[in-house]
Amino acid sequence: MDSATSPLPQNDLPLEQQVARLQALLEATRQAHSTSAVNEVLTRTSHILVRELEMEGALFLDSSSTQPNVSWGTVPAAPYDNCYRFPLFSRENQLLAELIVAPPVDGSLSIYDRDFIEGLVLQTAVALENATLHERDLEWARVQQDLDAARTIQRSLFPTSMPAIPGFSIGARSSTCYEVGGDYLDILRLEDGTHLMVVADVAGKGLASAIVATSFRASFRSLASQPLPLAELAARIGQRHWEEGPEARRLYVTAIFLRLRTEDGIVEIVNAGHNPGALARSAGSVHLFEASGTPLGMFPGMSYSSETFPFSAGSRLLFYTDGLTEVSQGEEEFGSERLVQAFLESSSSNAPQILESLWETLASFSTNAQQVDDMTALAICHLDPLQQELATP
Amino acid sequence: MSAKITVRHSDGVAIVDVNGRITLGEGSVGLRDAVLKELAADHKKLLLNLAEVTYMDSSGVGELTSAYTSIRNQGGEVKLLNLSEKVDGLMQITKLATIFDISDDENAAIASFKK
Repeated sequence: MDSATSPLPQNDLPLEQQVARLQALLEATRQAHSTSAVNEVLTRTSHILVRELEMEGALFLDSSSTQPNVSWGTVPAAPYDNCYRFPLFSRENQLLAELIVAPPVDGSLSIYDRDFIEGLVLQTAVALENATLHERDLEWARVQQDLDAARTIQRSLFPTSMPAIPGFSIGARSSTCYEVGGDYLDILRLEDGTHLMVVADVAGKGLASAIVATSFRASFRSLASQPLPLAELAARIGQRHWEEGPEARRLYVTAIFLRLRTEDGIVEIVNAGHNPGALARSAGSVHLFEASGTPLGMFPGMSYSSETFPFSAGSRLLFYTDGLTEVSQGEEEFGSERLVQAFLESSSSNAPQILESLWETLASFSTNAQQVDDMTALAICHLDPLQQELATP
Repeated sequence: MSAKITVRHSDGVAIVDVNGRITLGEGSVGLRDAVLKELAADHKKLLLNLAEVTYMDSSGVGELTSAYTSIRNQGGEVKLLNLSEKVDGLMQITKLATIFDISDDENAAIASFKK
């Protein structure tokens, strides 16, 4: 600013007056800095200009227009004829506000007044920036609290314990990349004794996807209690989602559903636009359950078909979201082939252990890089008699 | 880096060249704006050239299908051109390959629009 680069006009004043002016500036500075509220900083500076420096009026124009203008005294209306303008800049040289000063009625500003105002403006700019950052911090803390509460409620909706089904080992695992996520996993025991499971992934990530995931849960849970074929259940959830409108359609859901009849190990699967589920048979072969239709909620009137098969003892199933296959090492993604291979190679019949080992494999592939998408998986093992014996504590 | 989107016109078809990433907050809005602008100008035959799309996530897929719906609702036609391996994989997994008309040959794709 001028006052920092040009010779100080105070040099022409007697020493006592120079000291008095510096003391006045120090006091004015103290006042501007003694609050952390944006409005208060500007009000205090306006007071000093009008009451102490005897200006006719002072007005702060907010450059972002997010705050109301602050003024004191009398300032003519725009374009502020005969007024003096002083910009307030941040440390990064961004314009924060502009000060309009209406000089005393009897004349213009003296060089001393001008110098004083410039000094005060520099200090006010620092105080204003600090106050703005402080207000932003408070706002951020509120948002963070909201997100923490959202995370707590979302975690509480994740199945806390797996159903104890004799002859089966079931494991589920989920980790979000932000506070909350758009992956969903659920397991329900229905009145007819079958178990209904789903792994789903809402497009996008973060809060918007988490809200849609909760809406998906409501839909899934309310329709699950009705005696519907699995493919019809998927179609109805999709139709309901589509009817929510264009914004919801953009946040479509890919999902893979499973119904397990425990007494004879018959399994029915419907895949709606989701990553293929993998069945590893005891003999070592693999079958993939590909999608029979597009994701839920994307288009109206979609229909799906189901696959029913005997889930024989010794076989294992894996459902997962694309966060697992998209774990990357530089530009290279882990991919579904490697994931299925890792699943096959983990010879455990303990489902939680299988998932733990997959998570370890993925972390080591990405060299523990920060997670970039939500990751969720469900593993089910149908134990053969020997495995059952080993699993019994 | 967001996607760079340019539009060319050939034989009554608007060819939208997308260059970069179509992900949440990156490129997806640009694609939406470009499609809506063409529709507003009564250009209802759109060919989305995705040859230079380096990455697309689920939000990008949502944008593509949203564009598909907007264009179809206005009586228009949309086709996809030159899918990268990543985008093609997404189209296969989500079964969208059965919905979209996908081509690897620009001239053939332009010629295949209804006259």
